[in-house]
Amino acid sequence: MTTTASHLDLSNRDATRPDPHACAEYNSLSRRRFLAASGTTLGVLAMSQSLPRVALGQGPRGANRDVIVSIYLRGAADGLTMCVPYADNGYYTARPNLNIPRPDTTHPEKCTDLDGFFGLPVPMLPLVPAYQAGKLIFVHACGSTDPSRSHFEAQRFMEIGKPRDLNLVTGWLGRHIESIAPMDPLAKLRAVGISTGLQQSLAGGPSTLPISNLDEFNLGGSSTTRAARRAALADMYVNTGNPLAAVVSTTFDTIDMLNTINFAGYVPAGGAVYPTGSFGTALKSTAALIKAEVGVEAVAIDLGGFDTHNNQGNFAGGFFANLMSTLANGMAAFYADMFTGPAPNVTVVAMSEFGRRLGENASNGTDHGRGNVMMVMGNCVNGGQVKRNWPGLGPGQLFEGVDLDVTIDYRNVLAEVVQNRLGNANLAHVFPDFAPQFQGVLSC
Amino acid sequence: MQHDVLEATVDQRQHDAPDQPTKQPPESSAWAGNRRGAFALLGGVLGAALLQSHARKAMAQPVATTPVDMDPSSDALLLKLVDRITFGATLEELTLARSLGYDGYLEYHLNHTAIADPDVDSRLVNYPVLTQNYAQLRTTGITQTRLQLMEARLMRALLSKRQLFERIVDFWTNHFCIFIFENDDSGYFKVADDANVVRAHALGTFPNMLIASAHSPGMLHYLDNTTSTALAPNENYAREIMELHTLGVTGGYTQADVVALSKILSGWAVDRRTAEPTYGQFRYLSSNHNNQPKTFLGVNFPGNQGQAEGDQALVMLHTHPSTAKYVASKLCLEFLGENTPEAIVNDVAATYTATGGDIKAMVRRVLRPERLAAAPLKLKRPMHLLISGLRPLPLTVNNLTGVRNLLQPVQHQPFAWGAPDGYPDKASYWSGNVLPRLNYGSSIGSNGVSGIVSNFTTFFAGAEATPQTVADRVNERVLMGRMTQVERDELIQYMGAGAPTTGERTDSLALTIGGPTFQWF
Repeated sequence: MTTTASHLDLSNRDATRPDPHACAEYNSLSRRRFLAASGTTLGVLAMSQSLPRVALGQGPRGANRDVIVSIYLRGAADGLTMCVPYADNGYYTARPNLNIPRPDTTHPEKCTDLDGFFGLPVPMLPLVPAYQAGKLIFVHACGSTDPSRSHFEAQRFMEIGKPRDLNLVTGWLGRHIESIAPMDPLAKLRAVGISTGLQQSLAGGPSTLPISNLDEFNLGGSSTTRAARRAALADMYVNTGNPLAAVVSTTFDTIDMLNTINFAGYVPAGGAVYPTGSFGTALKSTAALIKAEVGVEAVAIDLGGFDTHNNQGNFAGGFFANLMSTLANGMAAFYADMFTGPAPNVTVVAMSEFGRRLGENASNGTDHGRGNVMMVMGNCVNGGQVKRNWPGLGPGQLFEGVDLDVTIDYRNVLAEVVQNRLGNANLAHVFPDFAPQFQGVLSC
Repeated sequence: MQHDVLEATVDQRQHDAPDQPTKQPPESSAWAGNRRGAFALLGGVLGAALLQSHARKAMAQPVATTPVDMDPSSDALLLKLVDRITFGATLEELTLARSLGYDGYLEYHLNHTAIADPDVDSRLVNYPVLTQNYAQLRTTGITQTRLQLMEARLMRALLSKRQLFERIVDFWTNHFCIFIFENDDSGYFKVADDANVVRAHALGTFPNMLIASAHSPGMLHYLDNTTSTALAPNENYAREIMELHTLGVTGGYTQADVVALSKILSGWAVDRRTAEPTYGQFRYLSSNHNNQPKTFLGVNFPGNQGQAEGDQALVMLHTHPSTAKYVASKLCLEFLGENTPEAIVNDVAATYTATGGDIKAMVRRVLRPERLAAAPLKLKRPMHLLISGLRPLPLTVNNLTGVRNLLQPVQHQPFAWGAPDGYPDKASYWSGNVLPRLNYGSSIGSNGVSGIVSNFTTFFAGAEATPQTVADRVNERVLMGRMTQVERDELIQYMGAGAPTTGERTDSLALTIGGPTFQWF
């Protein structure tokens, strides 16, 4: 990791892109995929090195499809701090106190240059290895075209994938799952929200559950009577046609599936150390779940607390600094765990409902704004860059005179991922009434 | 105990249980009162999931309907009313409703101050933080403050005779939501907010509650109005008071109105002078008030009017037609469920306007018998489910710690929703996480709710003889006679031949509380 003012050295990018070595290797090593394709249990490892990837890709598990991990930063994260446009002087004009100093200063909290225009603040530096390896891209001045500055409206419209639609209740991820054949025809659980209530982005997805802790998911009470009680409950729900019947059945199937995975004993690869707390735990369990290859195709994870109206605290020990550390350390651990060794292919996206006001307020915080930064991480990401159509932060360049404008619709980013990494070309269903324009966030 | 595979029991039941004649709903609309119709409108999410995964199996069986006669004088409708205005029906409440009739029972609960509540009154001494001021609370400490505040809330919901009052306190707590874990002060200030805003006005008038909330240190602190200065007002409260408390997000305001209102309300703050008797109470800080002219909702504020500007803005908000409509729609959601026909919402809004926001008058309009009769069933939220599972039992309640602990992993502890919009009340939000629902029954049936002991000997007294008598007892006292044939058959099959053991009896109770009928109200 570097904290010098020079550009990050990108020379050690994965030389095999856009045909990532890691995922091809993993594909051929995957036992379950091989079994599904060949129907034999013999000679798996001996044969694996010579198996052509394309043949595996035609197998029922859909080797060319990534699992998606969708991280939602709830409360409107301050993208102007997470990825600092230090070369736009409008930033320092509007934020005399709540800024991140330029990389060419001697301030201990100065940002680290990414590309000559943007920089990362100290708490985000754990993401540098992924960025340098070309597997992490930032997309700035990005967001929803809906101008709402309401958290609840903006999150809803973003998660259903269509601005201003008050009737649509299903989410973009849920409709993706719904409109594509299962990656694993035998999957009991296709998507999971690490949450006590299902995120709206997943709503409408078949075989989809919210589970707050993957490691503690079982029917309570005496183990002696558990099977009989479970059978009685299953019968009761299914045979009364109760609206909860499908969820109850999926829940019981998922209990069986999760019980086959040793979450507590899971040892991350790549020396990854997940941060303590629910976000790190969620990412770590997600890694274990994905590596277990039980057919889960989508995971939604929330990180909350970004509504920093007062005492935002960008510097060491500050509130937002700690939140950024949690985010960056979590994603960095996931990167080390899933991207530096054999693992199923995963694409990670991270977004927030809108950004924060360019100008700081009198409470040492920031109010609701508009344009924001989005992140995509994956083996096929065209990483190591900050993709943008920068609108500028000067007078006359701001949305309604106060906010960073949105010049890239977040759906353009997600649609590219859905089509090219999740293998679903039915974008009209996933993002209704929207004509996506891919931004080149992916290299394959 | 043996249990055959699913398919075998399904087939067997098909032969054993002939189709029961199902009564047609009074109108063809899906917003009609039988269970099939009631479920029909639960929204695309649940419906789609059901169809995709289990349509074949579910449709092969007659859908269990509760043959409810929705005549306004019917017993079934009385029971529905008891369910809707309490934290769980009990035989005691049902008996009371039968003796008072529909309107009489509703009026009895609306006149809540006339209902004696000695058990709750005598227990309040266990929650001393409820009567402490800000300075005293800071001495007590935030941990005790939060625990007592939450557990007192649960104690009242479980034990109060003023059940409609406690239900609507829950409603307004969410409407004027304050997250007590935001920071220490949000916890300390919620104590007074709970007493002086929510409980003081829960069945009073909406304008008075709104005005009290706008003077509440809890709200002004939680939504950052206390940090506003004359030159840099914080927009947070100004936005949420319009979006969440009064006009609704489509109520006809703009970002310019948010900015104007933030200036109008700048200076509305909390007294931080430790030596003053008003320490921790509302204080208007004129030095932090923006004295510029403003235009708010099309009305010109000339400036330099000080605190009176805020008073005027609050009147504009609570007399606004959008507020009448928004408050009406939320009360309809609370008592009638999702997708209430717009004509009913408009009628309740008209009542708001005609009565100056009288909450009792609105509740009466919402709960007209024919409206409740036609309303779809609602999914109990976790707190409601857990408390409703305890209420029918002979309880010794020592404390509510176990109840609170069971609500923590589903994130439904009182005052613990992290955003200002309050806990969701849509089935689609709560329906995915069913495992805790299934497990609550086990916790209750095994006396695993710490702090509460149920006397199951008393509960099953005289009904121990056979699986049938046990099932009938659970049906009578927990489901009030609404147990489906499917559930009864399953319980009897679970208990097996001979006299049920004590474990089989309490498991029957647990399975019923975790079962399909009990999830809805």
